[in-house]
Amino acid sequence: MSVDERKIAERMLMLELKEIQKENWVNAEAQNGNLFLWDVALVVLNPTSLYHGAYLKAELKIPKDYPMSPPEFRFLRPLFHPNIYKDGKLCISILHQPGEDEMSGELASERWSAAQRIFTVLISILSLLDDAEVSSAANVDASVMLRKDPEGYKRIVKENVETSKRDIPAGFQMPTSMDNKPPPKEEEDDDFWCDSGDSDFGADSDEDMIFGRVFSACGSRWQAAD
Amino acid sequence: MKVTIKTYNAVAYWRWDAPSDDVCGICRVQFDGTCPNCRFPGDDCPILNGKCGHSFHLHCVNDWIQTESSRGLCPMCRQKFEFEAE
Ligand SMILES: [Zn+2]
Ligand SMILES: [Zn+2]
Ligand SMILES: [Zn+2]
Repeated sequence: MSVDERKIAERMLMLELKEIQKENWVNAEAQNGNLFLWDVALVVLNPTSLYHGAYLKAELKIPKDYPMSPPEFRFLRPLFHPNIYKDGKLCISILHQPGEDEMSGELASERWSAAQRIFTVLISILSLLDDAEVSSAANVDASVMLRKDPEGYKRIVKENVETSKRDIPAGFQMPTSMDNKPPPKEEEDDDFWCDSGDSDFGADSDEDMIFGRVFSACGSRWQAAD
Repeated sequence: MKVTIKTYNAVAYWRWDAPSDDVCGICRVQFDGTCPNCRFPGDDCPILNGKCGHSFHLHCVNDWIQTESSRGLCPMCRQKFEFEAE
């Protein structure tokens, strides 16, 4: 059977992008209409988050065989965080293929699968920000500082947050709370191939299970030297 | 207003025996329709009912199982994906 994987990917990504564009905690756009490369910004609305008010720009690269393989995510401005590499890439298990680095101790259940979605990836990344996994550090400095000097760590995060605000586009109205969603954008497209298919997107129990959980761990485990 | 029907086209209706709100866990299309790679619903794009309780288009789950990283596990519950033989 010859399978044009790209066809699955394009159709799914079109629906997923539309769904994600209804959310107020994320700005997402296909780069020049290319569904396989998204400009994304995570908007941290939770007032109890250390990152409250941040506007975190990122790039999402989606493989042609999506959803069989996970997307690649990279923050454009690197953040000082135990699980974020200096190039802005993340160490988070939901972005790992289930077969990668067997030794890392990650549970297979936290890894990517064809039933995962970009929506759940973005939610996992947001929750990783305030819930760092210090035992598997991508940035050892940040990991050490978080444990030994939490106040200093917070100061650097605050600087990161302030810097990120420079990326807020002119005219962008920062939503004030998590519940204050803007009215859904237009999205009816009657003869689109599967309107019905996206009706429960983001609302089924399998996604609720993932919602809010942190998936983080790297292949390179780091042991505290003290 | 008076309408005279001059001609009409009969349209056949076809569906699977699956509940219509059921969607494939991989492509999220309802089982009434085919997977995104197929055009017409029917036997060419069958549904596999996994023993774990999760169902997928054969084409979708086959693509997943073909990836090395799937290890033959159901993408929803990560149990070994085995299906009822019809
Ligand atoms: Zn499917
Ligand atoms: Zn098919
Ligand atoms: Zn299953």
